Amino acid sequence: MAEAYYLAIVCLLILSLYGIDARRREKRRKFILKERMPAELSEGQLIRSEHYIRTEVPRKMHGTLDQLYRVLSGLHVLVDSKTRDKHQVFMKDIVQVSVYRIILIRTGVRMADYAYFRVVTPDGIEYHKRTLLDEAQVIDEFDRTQTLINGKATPSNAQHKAMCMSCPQQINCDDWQFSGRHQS
Amino acid sequence: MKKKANGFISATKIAQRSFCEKQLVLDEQYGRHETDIQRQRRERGDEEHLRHHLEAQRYGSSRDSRCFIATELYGPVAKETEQLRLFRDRYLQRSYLGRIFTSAYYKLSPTVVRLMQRYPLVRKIIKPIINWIVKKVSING
Repeated sequence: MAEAYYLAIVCLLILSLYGIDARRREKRRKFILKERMPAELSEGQLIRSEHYIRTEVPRKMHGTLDQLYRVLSGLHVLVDSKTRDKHQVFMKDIVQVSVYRIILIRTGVRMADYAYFRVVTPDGIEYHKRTLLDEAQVIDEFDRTQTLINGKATPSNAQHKAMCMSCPQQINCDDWQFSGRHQS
Repeated sequence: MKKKANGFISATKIAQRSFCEKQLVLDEQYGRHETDIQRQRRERGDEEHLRHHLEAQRYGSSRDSRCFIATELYGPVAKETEQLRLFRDRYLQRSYLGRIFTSAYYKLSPTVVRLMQRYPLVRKIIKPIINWIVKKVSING
């Protein structure tokens, strides 16, 4: 009697799971169409999302990654979202994600040497593939940042005047040749 | 999401240096400032991050057939899990119907695991069923 009862429950469960599964597949299809996700990622497996990571070697670095996928080759690929007016990826984005990559490598994760930047604009979503910095380059970036924070080096100016126009530190900045106040 | 980490430098700060070293130093001296437009953009970005985080967790992955209900219930190296693995390899994989059953199980198990993680009631319903299957499999094995 108990066996028949359990078998009936198993059959019902399988039927309802098929229904749930079909609904989920349809939603997933819509999600991939909307996202225009590269095949490499849509065929892969999401491993982490909004996950805090840190390392002490080669340097004390930390951060929160957006998404980490394991692709079919077995390598792990980072995805970082940016909300922008235009589809652009800046050097600072590449540096940020390169730091995540080095932290993950140091925790034993097999990482690809590239990442995808998911840029969200009013026109829609686009994924941009970019090669990341290697460990030596990340260490250089870290050391320079630490030196500046500790006040042991003189900071350089922004490379372009346009970068100063929207800078919230204009009021404290002594670089008059760049600041908006100087122009007015 | 941000955590205190003494002596650590965040990826965002390291990245900011490549944008403007002056701003990095001024942020350290006077605290981080942002204009109204920047605040609005940051809030928009935070909302987008949260939305994508939830969607990616639900629909961002293809199926992982390595997720087993038994692993979720008993653990990956438990005696019960091992018995079910043996049953799969010794009996199910040797017949056509058994292979169909195994592939259906691989397909459905991630959904079951997700439901068990989300609703403890589902776990309560499924556990005696799996216990019963394990018991039967052990007798037959």
